[in-house]
Amino acid sequence: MGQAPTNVQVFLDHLTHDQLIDRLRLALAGASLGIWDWDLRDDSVQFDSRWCEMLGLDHTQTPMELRTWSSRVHPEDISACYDDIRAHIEGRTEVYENIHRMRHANGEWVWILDRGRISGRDDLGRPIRFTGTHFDVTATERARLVLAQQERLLQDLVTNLPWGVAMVDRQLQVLSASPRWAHAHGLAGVPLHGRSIEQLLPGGPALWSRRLHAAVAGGRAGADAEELSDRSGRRRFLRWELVPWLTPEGEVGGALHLSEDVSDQVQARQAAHQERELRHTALHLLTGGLAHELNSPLQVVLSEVEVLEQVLAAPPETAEALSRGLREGLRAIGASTGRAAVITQALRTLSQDSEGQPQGPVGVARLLRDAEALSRSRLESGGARLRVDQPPDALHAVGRPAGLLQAVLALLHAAHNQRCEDITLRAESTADHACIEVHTSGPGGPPCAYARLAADLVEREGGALRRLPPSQGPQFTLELRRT
Amino acid sequence: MTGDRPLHILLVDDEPMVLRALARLLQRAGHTVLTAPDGEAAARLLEVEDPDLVLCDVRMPVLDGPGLLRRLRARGDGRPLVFLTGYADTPDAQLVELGAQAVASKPITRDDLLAVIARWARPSSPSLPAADAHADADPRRAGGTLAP
Repeated sequence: MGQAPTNVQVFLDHLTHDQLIDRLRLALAGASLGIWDWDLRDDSVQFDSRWCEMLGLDHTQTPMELRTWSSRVHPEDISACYDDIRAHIEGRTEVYENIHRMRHANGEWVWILDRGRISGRDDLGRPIRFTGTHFDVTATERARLVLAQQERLLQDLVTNLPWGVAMVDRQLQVLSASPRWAHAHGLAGVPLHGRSIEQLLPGGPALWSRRLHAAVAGGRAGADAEELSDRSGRRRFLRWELVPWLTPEGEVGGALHLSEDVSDQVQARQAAHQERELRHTALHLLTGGLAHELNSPLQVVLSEVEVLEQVLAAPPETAEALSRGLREGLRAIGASTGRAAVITQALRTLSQDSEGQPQGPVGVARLLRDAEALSRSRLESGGARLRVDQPPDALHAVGRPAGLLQAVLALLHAAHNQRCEDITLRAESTADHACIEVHTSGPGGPPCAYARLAADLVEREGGALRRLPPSQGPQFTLELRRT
Repeated sequence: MTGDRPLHILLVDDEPMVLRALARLLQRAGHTVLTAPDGEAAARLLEVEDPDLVLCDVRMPVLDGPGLLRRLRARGDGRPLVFLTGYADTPDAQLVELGAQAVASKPITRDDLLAVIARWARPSSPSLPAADAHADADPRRAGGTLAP
C-alpha cells in the first residue's frame, strides 16, 4: 500500500503543464541554479539563461555545445570532472557531483558546484541524456580556502613554535597536541586525542589535578628543567608550563601544556660546570702543591739568614765555632735555594699555558723531573714514598708542556688519594707511543676527581689515560704520541 | 706573659732542614728546643717531656698535625699548640676548633715566630729545668730530630 500523497504533491498534480514549468522556473530562479542538458549522442548541450548569466555569457550568443562548458573549465580541474562524469555514466555513482573553477567572461575564475544525473536512455538502456545544474559557490569556496589557509598557517605556527604544545580540557584530556610536544615526551606516533595527560606523562591524577588548579588560579605550574625518562628510557630534561586557555565566552576551557626539550642546554650547562670544577681542581692542586713545595726552602733560607746575622753580630768566641756556624748556615741556604730553583723551573713549564700554544715535542725526562719537583714534598708529607725512574733524555712526546705536566701531577695525586704508600713514576716507549706510567702499591680505587682531571688534560693533548688494577701493572698510564 | 723567659719548645715538622733551621733560630733566641719528624714521634716524646709550647706542621706522614692535637686533647693534655703551615688543605678555623691556640703561616720571620711563642707559650713551666740555649748534650734539645 502506497503512502498518502502530501499536500504539495496534491497541489502540483493539479497544475497544468505550463503552470508546472512556470513553478519550476520560479524554484530554479529562487535557488540560483543554472540548468544544462547534454545529449550524449552529439555532445550538444542546452544551457539555460541562468547558466549563461553565471558565467557572464549572453544566452542568445552562446553555442549550445559541450565545448562551451569544457573550454571554460580550469585546466587543473577538467580531468577530475571527466572522471566523475565517467563514473556516473558507468553506473558507479548515484549522482554526478563536482566542484570546479570556470572562467567568467570578465576573466575571473568562479567556483561552480556541478551536479547531474542520467536523464534519458535508448532502447538498449544506454545513456543518451545527462541533465544537471550549476550553482555558483565562489563565495563559499573562497571562504573555505581562506579557512584552509588559516588552518595551515596555524598548523605551521604550532609546528614551528620552539615549544611543544598540547591543549587539554578541564578533565585534562588531550584535545590536540603538536608533533614537537609528542616528540619531546617520547610520544611520537602515539594516538593522543582523548587520552588523559596523566596517562601520558609522569605524575598521577592527583598531581596533575593540583597543577591544573594552580594554573587556572593564576599560579605557576611548571618546571625549568625536569628530568624525565621517556618510554624508550632516554633521559631528558624538559622545561614545561601549564597555562589556562579561555573560550570565546571568557571561560577557562582547560590548559595548554607547553614543553620544551632543554636536554642539550642542561647537558651543556653540566659540561661547563664539570669543566669549571676540573679547572678549579687543577688550580687547587697546583697552588696548594706550590705553597707546600716552596714554603720549606723559603723557611730554611729565611731562618738561616737571620741566624747568620745574629752570628755575625755576636760572633762566638772561637774562630772555629764561627766558621762552623757560617758553613752550616750557608750549606742550608745553598741547598734550599737549589731546591727552589728546580721548583721555579717547573713553574716555568707550567706558565707556558697549554691553550694558546701549538703542540710540539716535549722531553719526557724533563716532564718527570718537573712533576717530581712540584709534588715530592707534598706526597711525602702525606706519607707516600715517591720514586722517579728517569727515562732517556731522547724520549719525547707530542703535546704541550703545561698540559702534560698538569696531567702527570694530577695522576700522582690520584695515586696518593688512594692511600698508596709507594708511588713510582716512570716512562716507557713503544713504537708509536711514549707512555708515562704511575705504579702504585695498594689495592687501587674508584676514579677520583684527579684521575678525571688527568684524563681530561691528556685528551686535550691528543693522548689517552689507561687504568689497570695495581696488581696487573701500572695503575695509570698516560699514552702519548711519540715524536 | 712569658717576657724574655727561656722556654721549652717542641718543634714538629717532617722537613729535616726546616726543623733544623727553626731550631737554630729558637736556640739563638735562648729557648730550649725539642724536635720530632711527625706527630707519632711527637706524641711519644710528650709522654716524657713537658714543653711550654708545641709548634707543629699540619701535613706530615705517619701522624699529621691535627691527629697529634686530637690525641693530646683526648688524653687531657691541654698544653698550648700552634700550627705552622704553608698549606691550606685544612682551614685555619677548623684547626683552631680542634683545640689549637693559633695557626701561623710558613715561611715565618724570626720576629713573628718569637711573637707567636711569647703570645701562646704556657706562662710557667715548673717541671722544666732552667732553659739552656746550647744544650747540645741532649740530641732532642739540640735541633737534631728524634727518630720515630
